Amino acid sequence: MHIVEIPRDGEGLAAPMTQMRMWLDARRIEPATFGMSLIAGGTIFRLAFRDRRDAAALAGFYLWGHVPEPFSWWTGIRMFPAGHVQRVGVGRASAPRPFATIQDSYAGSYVGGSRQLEPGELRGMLLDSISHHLVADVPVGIFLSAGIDSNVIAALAAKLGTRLRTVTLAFKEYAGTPADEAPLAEATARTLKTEHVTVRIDRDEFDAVVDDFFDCMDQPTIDGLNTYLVSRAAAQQGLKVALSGLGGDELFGGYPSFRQIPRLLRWAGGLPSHSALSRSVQRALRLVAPSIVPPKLAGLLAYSGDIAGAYLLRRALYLEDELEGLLDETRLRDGLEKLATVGAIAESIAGLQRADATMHAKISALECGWYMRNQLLRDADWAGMAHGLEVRVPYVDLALFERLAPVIGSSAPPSKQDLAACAEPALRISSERAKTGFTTPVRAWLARRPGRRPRGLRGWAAEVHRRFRSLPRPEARDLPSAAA
Amino acid sequence: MDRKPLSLNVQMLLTDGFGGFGGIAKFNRDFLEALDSCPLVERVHALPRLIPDRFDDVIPESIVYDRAAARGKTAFLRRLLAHARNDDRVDIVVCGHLNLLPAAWLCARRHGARLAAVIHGIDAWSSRTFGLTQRLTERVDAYIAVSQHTAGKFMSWSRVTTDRIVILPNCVDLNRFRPQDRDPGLAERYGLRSSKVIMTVGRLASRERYKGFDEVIDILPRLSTQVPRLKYLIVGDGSDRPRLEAKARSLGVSEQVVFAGRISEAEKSAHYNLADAYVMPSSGEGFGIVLIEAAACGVPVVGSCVDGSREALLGGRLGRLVDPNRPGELVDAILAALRARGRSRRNAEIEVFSSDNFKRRVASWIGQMVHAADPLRLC
Repeated sequence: MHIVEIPRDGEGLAAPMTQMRMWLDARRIEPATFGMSLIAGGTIFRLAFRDRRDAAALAGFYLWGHVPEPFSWWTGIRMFPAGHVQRVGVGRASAPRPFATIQDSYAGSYVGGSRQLEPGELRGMLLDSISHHLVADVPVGIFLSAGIDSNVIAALAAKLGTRLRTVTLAFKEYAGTPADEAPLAEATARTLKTEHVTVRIDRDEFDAVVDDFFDCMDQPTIDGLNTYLVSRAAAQQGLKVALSGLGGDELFGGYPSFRQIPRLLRWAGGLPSHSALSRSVQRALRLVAPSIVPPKLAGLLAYSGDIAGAYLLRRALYLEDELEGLLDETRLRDGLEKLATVGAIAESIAGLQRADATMHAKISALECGWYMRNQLLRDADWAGMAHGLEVRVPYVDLALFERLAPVIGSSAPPSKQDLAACAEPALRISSERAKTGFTTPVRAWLARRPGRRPRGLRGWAAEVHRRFRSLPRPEARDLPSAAA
Repeated sequence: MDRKPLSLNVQMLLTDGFGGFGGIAKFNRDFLEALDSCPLVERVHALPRLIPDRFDDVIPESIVYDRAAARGKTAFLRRLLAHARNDDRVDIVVCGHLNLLPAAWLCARRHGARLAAVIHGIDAWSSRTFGLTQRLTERVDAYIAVSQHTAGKFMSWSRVTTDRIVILPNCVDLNRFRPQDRDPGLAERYGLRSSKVIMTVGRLASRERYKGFDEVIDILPRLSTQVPRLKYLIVGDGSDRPRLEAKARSLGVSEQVVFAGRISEAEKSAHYNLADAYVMPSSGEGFGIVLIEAAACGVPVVGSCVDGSREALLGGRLGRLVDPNRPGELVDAILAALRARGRSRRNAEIEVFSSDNFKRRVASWIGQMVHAADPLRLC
């Protein structure tokens, strides 16, 4: 999916690079970065300066829990835009231009006409993607949780006749509780007759790997621990490739945002015009009772005016005006200005707004283009690679996506139930397997410090930032190079 | 038992730092930089009482420098209150000046944080007229003193004992302050071409008068007879300047005394490099950062043996120590320093005061603040 081609004039290291092409899939299975790069002999050496952290990267990290595109943790290095191609010659480079965008795929469905799924059609599409993702000269494993997404992948992969190896990550703390994924996953494994392993870890093991976890992280992120741990378990089983259910929630409306954002917009629609008034309400609420009113509740009015604001409210780790206690004001002002977050979110679905797409399609596009691209895929990449494991994501597949887009854009988009039905008759996934979320007890582990209040994801973000601040300079610890 | 290293949130109340002038502001900037580079520190909220001048320093990544606090007394109190209302954890409150101790004590109480206070120089040498501060000095968990001298003076009036005081000497950026050729433009500006130059840097405060400007001007007539083309460059400004100018006139040395006024931090190194000897027969320095800055520039230094300067000059290894009350000693030391002037070399012992060592000491102090009831030791 991701090819870097560097034709060269000669053989020697000193040979000048004449052209470099990079193709990237629309949703970026492997992320690439570009920026201040020195290209010699086919290797990209990145230069960066720790002393001048990009203000947008810092503000963006606290806003989202990751550094949002196009920024990166290091000033001067930008993420290569997803679904783009760029020609780079000696001394000149064309601007990256898109070859596939999420927005166009969805918007196209309003030109070409939206449509409903034929019976069995979805199953056929998924089988096609999964069979392509199973191609390998090594055994391919599957991350199996209690959720629908990974169960469907396992059921369909079993149907394709390969000998399956499934890996489930479980936590000793959860044994015997509803949060324990192992019993359901093991039941699936028995039904599908896979070679199954459940790896249970506890706090001691977490403590033992946490330093390595941070060492492997290439840019700060508040997620990735689950993928890191399950990849580690898979690698310990000798696996080199594993399929993940990542992307199922975006395509099949699995996130709460698909219900919450429309509700929020309906609710706010009945209120008088927002802007100035709502900002003052937000400030007043925070001033009067900062510890009683949850910050996101205080921001409800200010961010519920449009879908971009509502999406940010749903996904943000901190709201913009909460950041003043976290970052110095000049850096914060500069960072927020460069990010122009709400505008950038709105811009990312402007085409869908013009095409009068359904709310469902817009939310799906936002989840794909923001959360999945910036957080999930990037984390899956580094956390898998930390253990030499290639994490493959059959739901994030350009062919599948382009076939499914007109259906997702229709008035009856495919749901998680439609997805679950694809596993039948091999596997009956009961409605109890509705999304439970892949939870880890890490929050509890971190909170269990004497005399400390539980701090949740925000505390975790501060911890990630603290770790990243004291990292050696990036010259010594280069970013993974696409061309190396 | 907690097995993970803790992360710390620090709140610091300070008089001035970024955009400020003088030793205390310099210490505060260095201290904030050091906190930022300390891996245990998660975030520092710094509340400055004043921002005397606009600045374009890059504030370290983990520091939130609350500019709103510097907009007057009310604003400072308002920001303090806002921080107190905040539920975010604070582990250590650092009080940058004893005048701010009541406020810092309240902050520490509010958050259940440990309280540390920095003591610099004359600010901590004599008992406080304000009784509350005096009583609160006993409630401070740890003191940071810039010198043994300051610590000793402080202990003489407070009931604080030595086990609660650590010594954290000031530091100098050895990359910025280094031996260089005399800047011809500057030499021209002050009329110093082909002159022998002795120099003092400091506030000209009529209420303090401990920097030793008077002592140097007093012996200028005597020095001039032995050193032709001698100039005395005074860098700094303040209310005492007219008096010093008048004094120079009355002694007939106004031609030799050059008042440079206040200069920017960026110009400082070039100014030290104008001098053939740095002379400061002071009697009230807590430490005397200017002494180590001059020494870092390879300029021979003459300092005082009666205050913190003795420690800045490593008991005489970084420069000559004189008693400011003995003019004869001062003259001899200056003459010796002028003879010793060999450009482009600096004493390797200046490394003791490098920024890296300062950061290392702060990190080790932070570690002790976290872990220990045991006595704090730095040097």
